[in-house]
Amino acid sequence: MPEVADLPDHAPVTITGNSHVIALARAERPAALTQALGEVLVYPWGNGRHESEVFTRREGDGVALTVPQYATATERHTGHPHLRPDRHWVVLGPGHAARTFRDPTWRTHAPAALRLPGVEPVSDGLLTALLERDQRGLRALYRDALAAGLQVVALSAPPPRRDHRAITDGTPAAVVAHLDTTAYRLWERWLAAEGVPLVPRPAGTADDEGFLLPELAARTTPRGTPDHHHANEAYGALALAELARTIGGAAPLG
Amino acid sequence: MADHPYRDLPPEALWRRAVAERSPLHLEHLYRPRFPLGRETRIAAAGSCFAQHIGRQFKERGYAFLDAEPAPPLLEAGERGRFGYDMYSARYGNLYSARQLLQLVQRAQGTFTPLDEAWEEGGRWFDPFRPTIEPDGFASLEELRAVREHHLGAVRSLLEQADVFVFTFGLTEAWIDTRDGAVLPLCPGTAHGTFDPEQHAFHNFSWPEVMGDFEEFMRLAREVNPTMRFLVTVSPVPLTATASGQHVLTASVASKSILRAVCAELVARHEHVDYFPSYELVTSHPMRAMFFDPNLRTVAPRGVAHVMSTFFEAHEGTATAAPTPASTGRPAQVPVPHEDDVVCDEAILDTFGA
Repeated sequence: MPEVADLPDHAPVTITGNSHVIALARAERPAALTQALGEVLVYPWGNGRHESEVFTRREGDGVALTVPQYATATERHTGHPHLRPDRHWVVLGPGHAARTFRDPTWRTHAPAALRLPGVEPVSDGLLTALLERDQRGLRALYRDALAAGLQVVALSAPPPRRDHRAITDGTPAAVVAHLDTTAYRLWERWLAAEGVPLVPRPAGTADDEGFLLPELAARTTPRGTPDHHHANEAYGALALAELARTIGGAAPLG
Repeated sequence: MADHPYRDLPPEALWRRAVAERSPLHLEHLYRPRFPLGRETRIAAAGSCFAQHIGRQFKERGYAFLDAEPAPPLLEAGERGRFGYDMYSARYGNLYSARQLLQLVQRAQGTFTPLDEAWEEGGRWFDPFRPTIEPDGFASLEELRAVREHHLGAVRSLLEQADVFVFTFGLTEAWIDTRDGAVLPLCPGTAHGTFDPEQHAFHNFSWPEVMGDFEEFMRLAREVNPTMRFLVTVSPVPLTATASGQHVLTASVASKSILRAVCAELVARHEHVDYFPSYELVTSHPMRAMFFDPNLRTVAPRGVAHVMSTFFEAHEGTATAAPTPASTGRPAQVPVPHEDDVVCDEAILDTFGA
């Protein structure tokens, strides 16, 4: 695991990414956490659908976000539309394989390793290519951040949910679990090679097959509609504690 | 003046009127389809790399082009060729010779099981009969077997469904496993595998061999699907390298001549076979090599367009641009690759070969 360099005391920890960071924003922050992390800002930059394309570029001493939604949100919360070196950036990404597993591909195809009947097998090599394609945008962000000299940490997204629409609409749960596991393994390998610290999924948040425990699942969206995708604030609190452990080497919190 | 058989010949039978006095771009009646191809005709295609253009055009023009192994929809169009998708009607890669085609069907039907099952390189596994289908190889022998099992099932499915099977003959030269006669699409050691002079032998198929192989293929196919018809062509792309000991130019001409002669005989012998002159449309001297790229080997996009517009003009009555694709029973994916993306395993020889 790459080491996390110490930042000056005044550098606030800023957690951003797609809608999965909302669970962290809603989570309680016990005093021990505040003590470990200092000032923490959490905001979602927007919908994750833009993350599979490159959406960053080096600009000045920071990283510009080329998706207007992301830049606008970042400016609203930090006062600047770019990711700048005055903050310690925690960007959620690894483990968010939903863009891949909700694709209709998996009604007609399945990873060859699963040996599912009646569907076209997809080799590990092809699956890797599909997943790496999806990870392209976020990988570029982490690379740009490192190149700009930013302190950046990758925060894992929560495990997939068993009641996700992809599964209820017909994609086998085993396929979703396999895609998630494979995607996460690719992230671990890539981040280690690039020297980006990874905040792992908190232990004990998934069942034996890798799905988010039901008690950690959000029930409704902020608008009150049923939510089959996100984790809840209890998961968010565990993720914050995991972050504290990764960044500060602190004892378990929360 | 006495009457004779040449007196009433149509213009296309007379070189001066059919060729010498015409633009090579407007030769008439070069292709008269023996049987029609409608948009409802279920078409399967295989062959050497030039055949990829044919399949692509059928798809883009909304024909019922069969794709028994469609790419995962998630895989971008530009990436599909790299994994052997969207090239032909199944993921068999380039089939350069009639023997390869015949053995593919025999493998699908379980009557031939090559001894050379897989090549292992650095923990990855390659299929000797389509070694470039997975750029980095398979993760395990089990995975290779699972994907191949599905592939051979797809080939069986094609034989059952196709109304017309289009085959583009590519080469007469091949490398064979001397133990069981299995034909390899690429010489071992070029892309993958290890060349073993005790096990791998060069073979240049003769006219009787090519003829016999294709007739046997048709027999097997029509056992499954008695009404299947066949459209044969010869790739205009010359050899990139020859192992025959001849000059590559004379080797190419010899190879293509054999294949062209086989096509003529197939048409003469079998009512259910037709020939489309893509070879003549590109390589014959009235074309002045205008359709080749500067390397005088690969066919330029304008050459492909000329060939295909001739084909579809004959079937549709007018030269047309590719229309919007229509859906078919098993919709084929419509990729939008650049011409450079045509995957030609044979080009690997440019790197590894002579």
